Amino acid sequence: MKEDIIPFGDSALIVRFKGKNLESIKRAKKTVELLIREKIKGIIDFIPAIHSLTIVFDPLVVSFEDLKKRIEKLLLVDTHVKLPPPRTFKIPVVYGGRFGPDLKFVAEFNGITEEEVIKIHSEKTYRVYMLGFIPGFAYLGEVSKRIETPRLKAPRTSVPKGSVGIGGSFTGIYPVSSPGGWRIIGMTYFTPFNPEKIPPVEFDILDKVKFERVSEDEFLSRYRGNIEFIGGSSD
Amino acid sequence: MIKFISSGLNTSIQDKGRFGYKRFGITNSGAMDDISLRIVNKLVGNRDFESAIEFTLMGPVIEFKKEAIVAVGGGEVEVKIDGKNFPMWKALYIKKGSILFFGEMKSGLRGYIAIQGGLNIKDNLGSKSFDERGGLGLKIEDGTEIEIQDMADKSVIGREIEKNFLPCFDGTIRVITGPDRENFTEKSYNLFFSTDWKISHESNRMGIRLKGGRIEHSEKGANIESQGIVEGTIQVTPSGEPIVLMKEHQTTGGYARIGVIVTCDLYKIAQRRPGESAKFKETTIKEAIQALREREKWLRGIKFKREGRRFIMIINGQRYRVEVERVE
Repeated sequence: MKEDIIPFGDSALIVRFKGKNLESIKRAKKTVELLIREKIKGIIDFIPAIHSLTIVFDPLVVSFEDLKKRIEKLLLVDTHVKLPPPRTFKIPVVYGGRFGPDLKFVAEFNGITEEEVIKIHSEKTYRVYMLGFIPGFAYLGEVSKRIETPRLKAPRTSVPKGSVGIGGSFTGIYPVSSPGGWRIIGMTYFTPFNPEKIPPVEFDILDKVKFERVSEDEFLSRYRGNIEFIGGSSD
Repeated sequence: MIKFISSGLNTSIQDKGRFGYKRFGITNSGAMDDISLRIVNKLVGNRDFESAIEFTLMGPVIEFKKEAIVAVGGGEVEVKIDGKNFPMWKALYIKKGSILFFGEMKSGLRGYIAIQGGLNIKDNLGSKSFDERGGLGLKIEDGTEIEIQDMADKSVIGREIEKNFLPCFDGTIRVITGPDRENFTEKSYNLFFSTDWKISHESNRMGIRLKGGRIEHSEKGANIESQGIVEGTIQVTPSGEPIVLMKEHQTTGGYARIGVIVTCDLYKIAQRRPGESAKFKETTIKEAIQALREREKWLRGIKFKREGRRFIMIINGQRYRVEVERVE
């Protein structure tokens, strides 16, 4: 399948991949791998996504046309790249209550009980579809149709660090406190983002992630720092 | 060491920014007006993208606990050292114990203070730039203290930039058609370029919102599959409001992108105040790169003048070079 390579402003381009989600993500990841190996001068940043790979470059070092030609060549061989096996992460989550104030809504929206939402959310192994939005935020796909829930119409001004949410067909963890519109169903003490480490983010695209329910006591004993809550402080 | 007696408004340390981490969701950050940053650094003898202090409308009050050479640039602001007025765009000597502060900013939005040698704070992922959501770099608060390098090269004191090299923040901003052109009708695309936009008060280092019109989407709609975005991207929300993504933009987004501001005009929109106007003009990538090339040449060719005078004196047969300069 032929990919499109189109310019994006004067300093970036987009490679568009077609096909099924996981196949397309795999190609984006392999292409990034090749680009890193090739050490092409002028490339500054990559942003792989589900059907695209955005590449930021310095147009005074390499032109769009030259870069396009080199990428086209790589796209003929990317399927031969062997990716390291995906890692598996087990993410402890305390569900509901003050840790997951939207659990009730997700249950009501889908016509099931809160317990069923928890069971469905924690029984599937998800894959990291893409990283983006804020540092270390992984779009984990895809949640069962039985718990899909649209985002809030008006995003919250602050979603606490560690919050676990559902946004449409994705689920994810807020690695830092940030404005956000996902439905928050729980909280984890796992921290995927650490700027003191290289790479600073634990997850890579295509890694496997499974959520595991933990008790409030276990969560509280393992959480480091002050816990923030949506809609006010703890008692 | 310097101490911020008062932080001013949204004051932070900024340099070129953080690169190579967008694939982890970590944004670039960096000085909003990179041209002013580069010029003030040149004035004090630093490399172009050395870390400097960025403030917004209201400048900080800084106590210098050791002598330093500083230069102030960006939006037009009164520079005061121990109550006396000093010019912008000039390398100034500050003696130990002096206090640097600022009057009202008359035009523009952001000011830059370069200090010879830069600021001694820890690098996070290759940059000292403050990134609010990532919690990286340093935001200045009342009482913040920062180590500065020892003054190393006094010869730059008094260095000024020639008037015709001052950056110009006015004028039309050039835009390249975005990758989601098909999500807009001919009419709405043209409306974007004919509208006299106003900078919204809900603007910050992440993004600048534009008020004054409603850009309708074509039948393809406002939403696209979430994907990478870059600085200068103009996305249009479902309500038809354009948002220009700036230095601390999120790394991925799902709104249709009508255009991308050319790299060399980004500093202009970064200096527009809420309520001020912004007009956009369509351009090509070729023209954008040509303009960028010319700008880099212009920056390399910046001419400085010094107010001091140099003499050669011969004392007891020995030749000395002497510099004389007005102190008060």
